[in-house]
Amino acid sequence: MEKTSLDVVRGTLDVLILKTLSWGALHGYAISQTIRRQTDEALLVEEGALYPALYRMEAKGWIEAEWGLSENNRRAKYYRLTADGRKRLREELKTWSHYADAVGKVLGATSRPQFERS
Amino acid sequence: MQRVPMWRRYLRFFGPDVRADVGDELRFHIETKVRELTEQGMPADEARRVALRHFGDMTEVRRMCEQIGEENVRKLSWKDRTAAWRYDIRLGARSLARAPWFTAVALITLAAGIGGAASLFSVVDGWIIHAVRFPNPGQLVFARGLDKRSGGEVQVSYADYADMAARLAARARMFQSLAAVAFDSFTLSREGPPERVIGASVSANFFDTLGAHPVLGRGFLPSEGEFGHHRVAIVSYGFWKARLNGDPSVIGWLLNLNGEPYTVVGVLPESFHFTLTGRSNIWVPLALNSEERSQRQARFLRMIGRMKPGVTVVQARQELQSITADLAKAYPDTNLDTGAFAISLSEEIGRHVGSQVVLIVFGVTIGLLLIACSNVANLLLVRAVTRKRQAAIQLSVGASRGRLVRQALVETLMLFSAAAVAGSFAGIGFARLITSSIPYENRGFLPDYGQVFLNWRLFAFSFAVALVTGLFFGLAPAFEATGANLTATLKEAGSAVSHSRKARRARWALVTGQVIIATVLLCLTAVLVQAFRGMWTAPLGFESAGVLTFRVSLDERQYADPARRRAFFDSLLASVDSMPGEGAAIATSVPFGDGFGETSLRIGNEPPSDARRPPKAGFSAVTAEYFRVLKTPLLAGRMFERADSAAARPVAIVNEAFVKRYLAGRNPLGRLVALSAINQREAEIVGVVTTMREDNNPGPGYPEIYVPFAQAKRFSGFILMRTAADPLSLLPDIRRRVASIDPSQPVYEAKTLEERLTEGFAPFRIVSGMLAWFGLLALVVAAIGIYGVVAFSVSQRTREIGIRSALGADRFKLQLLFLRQGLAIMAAGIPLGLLLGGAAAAALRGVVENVAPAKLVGPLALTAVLLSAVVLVATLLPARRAASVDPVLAIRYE
Repeated sequence: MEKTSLDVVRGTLDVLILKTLSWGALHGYAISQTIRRQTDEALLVEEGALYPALYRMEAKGWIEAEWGLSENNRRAKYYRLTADGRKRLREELKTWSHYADAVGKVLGATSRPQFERS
Repeated sequence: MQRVPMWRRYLRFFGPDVRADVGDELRFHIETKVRELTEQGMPADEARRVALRHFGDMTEVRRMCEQIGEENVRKLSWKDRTAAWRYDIRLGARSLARAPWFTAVALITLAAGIGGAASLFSVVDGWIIHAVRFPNPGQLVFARGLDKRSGGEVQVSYADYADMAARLAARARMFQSLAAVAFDSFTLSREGPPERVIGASVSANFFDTLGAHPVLGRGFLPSEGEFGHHRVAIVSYGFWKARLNGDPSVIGWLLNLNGEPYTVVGVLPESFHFTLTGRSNIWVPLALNSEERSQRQARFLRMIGRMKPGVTVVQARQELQSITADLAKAYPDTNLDTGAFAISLSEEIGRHVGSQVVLIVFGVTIGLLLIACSNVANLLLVRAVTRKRQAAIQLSVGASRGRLVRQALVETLMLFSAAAVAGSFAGIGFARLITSSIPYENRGFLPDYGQVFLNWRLFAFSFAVALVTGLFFGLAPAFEATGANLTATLKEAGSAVSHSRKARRARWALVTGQVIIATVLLCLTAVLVQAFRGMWTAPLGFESAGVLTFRVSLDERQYADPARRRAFFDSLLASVDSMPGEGAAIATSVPFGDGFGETSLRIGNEPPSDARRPPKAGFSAVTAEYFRVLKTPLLAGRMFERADSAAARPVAIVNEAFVKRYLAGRNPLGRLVALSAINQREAEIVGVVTTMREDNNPGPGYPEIYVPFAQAKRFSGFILMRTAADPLSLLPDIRRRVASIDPSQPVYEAKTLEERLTEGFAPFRIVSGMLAWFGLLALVVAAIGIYGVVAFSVSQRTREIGIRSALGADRFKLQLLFLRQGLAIMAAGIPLGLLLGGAAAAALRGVVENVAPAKLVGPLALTAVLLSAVVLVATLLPARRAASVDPVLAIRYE
């Protein structure tokens, strides 16, 4: 298994893209707008950052691209999750919730932690 | 829209254009965003600014995407490309499997053609072309003795050989070394019954002279040429493999040869074949006792010399002749008329196997390969029809020409890979077949005990020839198909898609060509097999079964007194005669052996027509029982009797050929002939016998004149014995009996008459057997080809047949339709083939004896009948099938 990247921005963006695509095939612009709306424009500050991430994930075989027609009849590149991508998403979700739990525990502590002396 | 430059399009044709794709994608993003914002009421230029701001660094994103994308393409395109090949292979396998008939015929043809040609080439290569592989073969000369009186070749005595070798060494001008060899056969006793093995006794320097070094053990040491130290043996590679199980620990084993233990000291390399004269498998040192060494009259050796670099055969011959002239002066009693001559290795090989045999077998092989290739070409052309429609569809949905060619290439290559496997099995099988078809008693005469090993170099050659044909004919249709008119092709329904005229013509030309080649091949093989068969089926004039022959030669000084000589031969004959058997005789010659002398003669008082060239005849001196032992029929007069002694009046018996040549239409009996061989004395012809064959030449026979043994001055004689028992089992007893008369007298060249015949005919029998096999193979392969083409043309016209028979055409007429095609092939191919075959056979008259124009008629007729039958059957079978097709099915047939 590939080591999960803890680079927050990139790792987070990847898992967000995977999650977004889990509902169905979308073109790049639709992905960016979905993430923007759902995160209240907090995470994806620059929409351009999405594209290198898409290309990287395509290279890794998590997603595949195909040219199709958009809602308003324009040629657009659609991305779809592969079986590998779906597996990756599940792993990322697991890692993410462990990570979030861990961070949440530390940050949400109400009393000072006790240190054992050795 | 921006125009895409030409080279870009070209790029895109092969794979995705990453830069354009990234541009399109990012442009789509910005434009969609701008539209959304303007729809919300934002002015266009502001909307654009907002969109770009939200996007971030456009240049950087574009750069990153292009980089990653291009890497992707590189990785993918490799995968894609191999995937396409894998797909083509799957497709090829499927299309081959869908046409099992085509695949099977192509495979059988290729396997038979490639395997057959390769195994035949291997035989020629192994037995004939490379039968002799010695370093610097140009330096080797074969030397023989020369009887200056008769001009005939004789062998050399040990004493003469030793003197010659010593003098050559002393002069050290022309020769590096001179070796001697005496061919012999041994009785090998191992477990089981004793076995006769052909072998040779050789001087210790024999292998060094030839430049051959054993692969196991060592050669002979000089000391092993001494009597008493000589019980060592070197065996041939084939003998080692076949009879000693190829055991690597063989050095030091004891072999029981002629009842004495010999230690194996060496195994010769596989490439060592000394097939020229002896086909030997066991080699022992030539070791004679001191008495034997001094006998100049016991001539039983042949010599092989290695000349110094740069010396010519003519110089070597002169050197030998000057030495024999010295010897003649030194030993006038024995060597007065003895000379020597030498010939080169290649000349010697030519004498024994005949380069014509090589050429013939080579020609047959090439012919076979040609037939197989044209068969495959034909099949592939036929195949192109199916391919044509498929190709039209593929082209119309956008397949490239390269793609189609690649597909055809893959399919052809797959077929040929399978053919290579099948062909190698066939080749090994044919090689085994050839091996097993050689009668066991002949194998000893061949290298490697007659075992044929497939030569992979030659296999590769045969395969390459077939592959080039296959690629040419397999790819041509693919190119042709891509140039076809798509709509026209697609419109034609189903299998009714026909060939272009060019392809159809090519197909018929190939079939006709095949018939021509097959006719020529069959003609040649039939003529040759017949000519060869004539050699051993022609009447011999004697009965060979159950006759043992061996030879004794007397020392001319020791036996200078004629009375002593007579006493020796008389007591020898009496002793041998008393053994159980059906009679014994002594003669100066024996059929299929040597010893034949020649005499010039004068019949009665007739003056010779040309004084410088008096009539001549073969001359032999024989004892009374000679013709009875050989069971040669007496045609007139009487046999010799005991009364025809040295003191009695000279008498002679002549053969039929003699009467025909010199006394045609006259009564030979009572006529007087003066013979140079008995000092011009006149002998009275008292009998006429059937002409006996002296060698494998089946011609009309030589005129021969026989005189009583007692009336000729002879030192050497063959003893012939007819016995009901195994002739060779008598040999030990015979050696004892000879020794009891004169212990110093060697017995040599002991062979049964059958053995002599086998030896004389072996090469011709083997070659003719092989030719017959391959003629048959050529016929079968050609038949398959003809059948395939006609059957295909029937299947192509199935619809037409259905319509015709639905309209009421009768069956016979339909069959006739196809029969006409077959007849056209016959009419075009067979006469031309016969003409060429006849011409080729006539040309063979120069190289192979016994090919007469009258004898060509039979083989030519046989060939014509055989091939006509093949063509007719190949036509009729599919034609019958076509005619019996249900019209409804036929019309629907795809």
